[in-house]
Amino acid sequence: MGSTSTKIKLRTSDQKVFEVEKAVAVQSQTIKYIYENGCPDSVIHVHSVSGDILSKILDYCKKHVNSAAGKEDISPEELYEWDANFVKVDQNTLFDLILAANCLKIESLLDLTCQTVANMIKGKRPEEIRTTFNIKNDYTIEAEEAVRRENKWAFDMLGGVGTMVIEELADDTMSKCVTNTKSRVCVIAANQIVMMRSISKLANKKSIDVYKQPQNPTTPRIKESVKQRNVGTGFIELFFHFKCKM
Amino acid sequence: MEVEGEEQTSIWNKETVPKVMKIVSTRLAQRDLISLLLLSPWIHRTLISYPSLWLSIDLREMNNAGDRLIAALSLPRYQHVKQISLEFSQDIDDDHLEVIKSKCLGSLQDLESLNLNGCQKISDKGIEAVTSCCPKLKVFSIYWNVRATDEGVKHLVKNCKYIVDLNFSGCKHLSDKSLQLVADNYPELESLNLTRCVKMRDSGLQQVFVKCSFLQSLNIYALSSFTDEAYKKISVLSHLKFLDLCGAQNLSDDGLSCIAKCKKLVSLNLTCLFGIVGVTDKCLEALSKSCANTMTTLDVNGCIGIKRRSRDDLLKLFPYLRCFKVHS
Repeated sequence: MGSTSTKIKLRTSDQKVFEVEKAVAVQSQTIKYIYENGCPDSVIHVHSVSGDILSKILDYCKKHVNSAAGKEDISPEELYEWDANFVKVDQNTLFDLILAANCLKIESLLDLTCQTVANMIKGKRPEEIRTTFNIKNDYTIEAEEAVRRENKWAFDMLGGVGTMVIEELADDTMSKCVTNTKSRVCVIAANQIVMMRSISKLANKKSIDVYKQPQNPTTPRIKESVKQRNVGTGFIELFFHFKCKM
Repeated sequence: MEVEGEEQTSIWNKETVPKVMKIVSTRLAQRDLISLLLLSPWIHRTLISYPSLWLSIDLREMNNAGDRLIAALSLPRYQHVKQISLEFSQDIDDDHLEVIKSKCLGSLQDLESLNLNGCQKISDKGIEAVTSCCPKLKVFSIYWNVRATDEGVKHLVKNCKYIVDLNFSGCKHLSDKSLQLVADNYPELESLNLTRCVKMRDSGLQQVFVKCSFLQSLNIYALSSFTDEAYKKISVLSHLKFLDLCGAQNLSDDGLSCIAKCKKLVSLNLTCLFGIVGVTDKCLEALSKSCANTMTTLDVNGCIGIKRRSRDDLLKLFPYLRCFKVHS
């Protein structure tokens, strides 16, 4: 019929039927595949998704389709905020959204919901994670002890401080120095006066010590730039680039 | 009803949470991922049953790295590990690698990438031990290893036949002998970093150019001993995309115009602390003739012979330039 908005029918696990614009429905790679490889007029069953969850998912897809197509006047920042509010739901719903997004293969929604849960896990001790997600500790004492023991290697020792000593810069002109909240970094380098200022200013951690190396009087005066890049929680990558002052 | 509540809890703990954790786990760092194993036996069982989650061991910057690595490799779930990083970790030495060779031989059979950057206690002996366990190794990085010598490289080429990415940056004891070994054994080499390998000379480098014709990335940063003799031969590397010649004091227009023959060049670094005096605007034009369509990164700081080096000047020659490193 060539109508501008083709509709697709979806039936959920609890027998609710949704009629959805094609552009919105095919945000799901699963639905897209079924639609393109089956009868376009028949109803597509989304067995593992309930009406409530599908309704929310369709809201998400509609919002994103409309914003991408320019049908809705919404800035990237506003969309980002909308997404942030979208995932402010109870845990049951959040988990159901993840399972549904996974099953329906809606990548951006899966990323959004998974990242939300990942952020709730990051850096937490197992006890804390259990509390957050209401997880029952079904381990026997012996079993739990065994699992802890065999995985001890993956965790920093409590109170342990790793000291990384870089005794000389491998390159005259550039060195990569990675710091994290748990390790002390001692950098011994030439032209250290400049470096000291920049390290302490940028790294802002008292765990970095800079030691002086006798300065070579024949080294030309060099001006430095230091780039800092956040590479994850507690990690900063510092690039020291020494350039020749002409 | 109580029974219903219990059932709900049971489904939550035994099915829903493990399934969700499995999906989320690919987005977690190693430490958090392993924390999940400690939560409940249901999650443990689910996660362990997915081998794809356990292909990487990350011990970057950790202390007691040698012991930690041995402990990790003793676990069945890491039997097929593909990637190990010990970058800037401490307390790992040859002895640990010997232990791994004798006890964990089976676990490294699928290893493809090994990062030993900054592990300064490891010597040729350790290199022999670890490489003898990983025949499928493709990526080997020992940045800043000042104990490694040509002997270590000999062991590497004997044990690992499929290397495509080598990082010897800062390994100041490696000489042309290592380059000969690399050239003779790795014709499919794609990436080579020889930053600060100060014992290397033109003849060694030329061997690599002739025999490793698939090189895409070459880093010969801070190596002022090379001359145009070597630079001219870079022209045979028809697949070369990334070239770092920072510190190439002896480079001249002649050399660079030969390099210009590498038509796929995307990134070229020509900075130099002490000034590359031999390179002028003339060769930039030559470079532009062949690489104008591909060049996106160009750094000519230190080439005091290049006068027309403003952003606009460079854009005229290389219209796709995205990354300008024009220093004041």
